[in-house]
Formats: sequence, structure tokens, C-alpha cells
Amino acid sequence: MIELVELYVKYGRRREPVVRGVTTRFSGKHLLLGPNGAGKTTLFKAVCGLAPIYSGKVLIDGQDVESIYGRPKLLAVNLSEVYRVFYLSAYDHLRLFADLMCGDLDLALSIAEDLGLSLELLRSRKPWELSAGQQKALFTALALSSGARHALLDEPFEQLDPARKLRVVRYVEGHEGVLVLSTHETWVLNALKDWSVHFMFEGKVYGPLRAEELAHASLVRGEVEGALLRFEAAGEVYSIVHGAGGEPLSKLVSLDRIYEVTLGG
Amino acid sequence: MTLYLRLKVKDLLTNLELLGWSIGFMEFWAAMWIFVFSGGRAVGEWGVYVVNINIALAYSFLSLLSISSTAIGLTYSVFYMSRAARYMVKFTRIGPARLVIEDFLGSLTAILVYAAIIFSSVIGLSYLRWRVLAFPENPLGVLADLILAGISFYWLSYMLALAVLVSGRTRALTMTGYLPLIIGFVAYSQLWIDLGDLIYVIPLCALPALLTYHGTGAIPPTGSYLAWLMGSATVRAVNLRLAAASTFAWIVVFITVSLALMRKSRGVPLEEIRL
Repeated sequence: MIELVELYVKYGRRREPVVRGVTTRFSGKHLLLGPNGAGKTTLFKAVCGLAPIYSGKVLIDGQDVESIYGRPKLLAVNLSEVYRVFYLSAYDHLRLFADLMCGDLDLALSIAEDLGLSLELLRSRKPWELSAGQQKALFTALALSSGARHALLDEPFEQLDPARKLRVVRYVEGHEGVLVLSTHETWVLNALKDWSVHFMFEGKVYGPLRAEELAHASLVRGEVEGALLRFEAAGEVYSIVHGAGGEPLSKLVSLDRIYEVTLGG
Repeated sequence: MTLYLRLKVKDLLTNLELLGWSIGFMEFWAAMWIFVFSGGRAVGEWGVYVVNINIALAYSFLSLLSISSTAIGLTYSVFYMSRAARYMVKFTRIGPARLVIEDFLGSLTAILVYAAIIFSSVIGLSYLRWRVLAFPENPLGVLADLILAGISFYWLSYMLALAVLVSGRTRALTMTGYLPLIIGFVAYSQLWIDLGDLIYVIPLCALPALLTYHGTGAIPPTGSYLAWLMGSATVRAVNLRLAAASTFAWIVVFITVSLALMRKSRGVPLEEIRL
């Protein structure tokens, strides 16, 4: 289980916090939905111990992330920055991390192949020479094949074509252990109906709700009584309500649209 | 040998920039040294002796320059892998101490391979020029000196990369990263300049004296090596014990500062790597 307690993250003393007072638990399969810039990636970095925690705590299986060392199979993530070690091929990086994380190299290669990354391609290119979508697929394959009890997948669908997105959905559905998947795309609500959903806006996390409940929910500007969830974005209060009456969440396509709604788009 | 160690060595030995600057560029200067800058013929005992000393100076100084060029690459690699390093020490089986040790051993191996290439090519080129196989008087001593040089420059690089990370002045990386080469050239300047007692104080400036001593068996001067070679100037003999002590002292300083920076650097990627 990943537990966040009153977590604040900020880069530099004088800057505004990127993550603001987040308290929540991730113990099963979770979607973290939020527009670009909401703080999802920073939250993941904080869970990995990569972002400066200003106050609060991140506990993984009860242990403070600050005191965790040399623990393979505890947490895996698909952030590309943590997998750039040498000036070597993507294949060398894949086998290095499969080795260090006590993961399954064959499974990583098989997932990568399924997501369009042939062994030949991995041997001939360095990770940063792959396209953004290919990099995302590579590191998602690495995280999913690590056998870690907790996995964080940051925007795993980004830059992927629809066919590959569905393959990623299949892999994350079959993944065992705690999995938190962040995205700004709302179509996943229909694809992963039995998952729990947290929303993240401007550094704050709201929820959880069931994805099933949200598949037919709508977004309404202002406070609505009996709403499933209320949150603040761009200085406005929004409510997510059952049924029609607002902008259906599934039709938003991306939560970035929240700001367009604010502007009257 | 672990996979990390193997890949570290592969990384450094296949990096085209490092190969270009640490080998290609130095090979050019080795050829210049032997075929352009050096005169005379190895005739008679005295002639062979002078050639031997000349060759010892060539591999000593050029190996040091090669190592200091490699050190630039090391500074950059420590800097760029800092985020990955932090993740690795937490969520993989490598752990902080093992990462530092394996990184050090892999880098030292690559440094020694580069130095061995320069050493061999100087010996080979000088044979082509003078038909003299000028092997060192004390090969193990030369190897020990090259290892010392490798250790010194590795920890200097590590310290510099950490200093940039801790201070948060990432823009200073380019300038800071080249400090090992600058230090290498200060040592190189001793071919023409006599730094006197300063060689015991300036970082790693005592290394050429140790290399030359083990290469030739003669106690070298505190500087102006070329004048010493030609016998055209009166020079003061170096204190070898002090030279060795100075080198060891600088290694201790680099390691100590690196460890202090690792512990102090809360909030930056390499902070968690502690021994």
C-alpha cells in the first residue's frame, strides 16, 4: 500500500507547492485523472523519493520513502528519467534494469515487442533516440515486467496509437499488485470500469470514486448538492454529478478541457 | 563481474567523444612528440639513455592528459545519471555503497585501458622512430602511478559533479566539468616550467614526478623537464616521498569532500548515495 500523509512538494523555498496537502491511500488499481500540469508526475516523483518533500510523508508498505534503500520489487515506475544511466542502447538499459530490479527480461521484451518495439530497434537505438511514444512504451514495459508490488504508470497512453493503447489496457488489467495510472484522458473510465479513480487538480487530490460511477457522470460548473465530487480548478468550483445536465465526462476526451469549459468553450 | 560494472566499462570504452579526446587526440600528440618535437638519434649509450627518458616523459605526460580528458566525461556521466542513481539505490538491488564502488571500479578500469593504449602507442611509435624499446625501469611502479592518477581524477570528477548538483548551479557544469583537464594541463606545463615547491600543493601536480621516476629510475626535477632532459638548466630534484604524500593527500581530500557533499545534498538526486 502507498500512503500519502499531508504531502506538500515544492521546488525551491520561495516557489508555490506543486503538490498541496495530499492525503490518500493507494492499495489496489487506481486511476489518477487530471489535466496536464495538475501535479500528477510530481506526485509520482515524490512517491519514488525523487521530488523534494516540503512536508508530510510518503509511506510504502508502511516505510517512509526517505529511508528506503536497496529494495527491488517494492516499487517500479515508467518515468524515463530514472532509466537513463549510460550512453548505451535501449536494450542494454532494459537488461540492466531487469537485472537490478530482479525483473523478467523476457517479459519486458515481449511487452515491448507487443507495443511496437522490436529487439532490433532496441539494440540499435539509445533510449533518447526513440520517439516519445516509444520511450513511454519501453519504460512501461520495464515497470510492468519488474514484478514490483507497487507500480506507477505516468501517462502510459500518451503518444500511443489506439491499437497500442488497448494493449496497454490489457497489460494493466492483468497486472498483479498495486497500480496507479495517471492520465488526462477520460476514455479510460469506460475501459477500466472496476478501478478506483482519484482526480488531481492544481496540486490537490480528490476522491476516490469508482470508474463505473463516472462512466455516465457529467461535469457541472458550480456547487451541486448531492454531487459525487466537488473540486476547484482555475478559481472555479466544479461538481461531478450523476447523469446528464452538464458536460459528460467521457465526452471531455481530455481533462485539459476543464479549462476550456471555464473559458466558456 | 556484475552487469552494472560490465556496462559501465562498455559505456566508457565505446563512447565516441571519450575515444576521440582521450585516445584520438592524444595519439596525435604522441605522434607529434615522437616524430616532430623530438630530435636526435639513439646512438651510443648516452643517446639511448636520452631517448629512454624522452619516451618515459612522453607516456607519463600524455597518459596524464588522457586520464584528465576522460575525467571530463566522468564528471558529465555522474551528473547526468544522478536522478537514475537515486532511483536505483532505493528501488533496485544495487544499494548506495555498491553503486559507488562499482561505478568507481568500472571507471578506473576504463581509465587504465585508455592509459595503457597511450602508453603502448608511445612505446610503439618510439620504436618506429629510434628502434629502441623503451620499457619502464619499474613497470609495476608506473602501473601503480597510473592507478593513483586514475583514482585521483575519478574522485576529482565525482567531487566536481556533486558540487554542481549540491549548489544547484547546473549552468556551471561546462566550466566545472573541464577543471580536470585544466589541472591536467597545469601538470603538463611542468615540461617547460619549474613550479618548485608548488608541485606539492597544486592538485595532482606531483604525479608526473612519480611516473617519471618509475619510468626512468632517475629522480626527476620539480619542473622544467625538457631542460632537464637536454641538460641545459640546473634544476632541483623532487622529493619523491613528499610527491607521493601530496598525491595521497589530494585523493583523501577529494573522497572526503565527495562523501560530505553526498550527505549534505538533501533534495538533489545524488543525496542518497552514501557509504
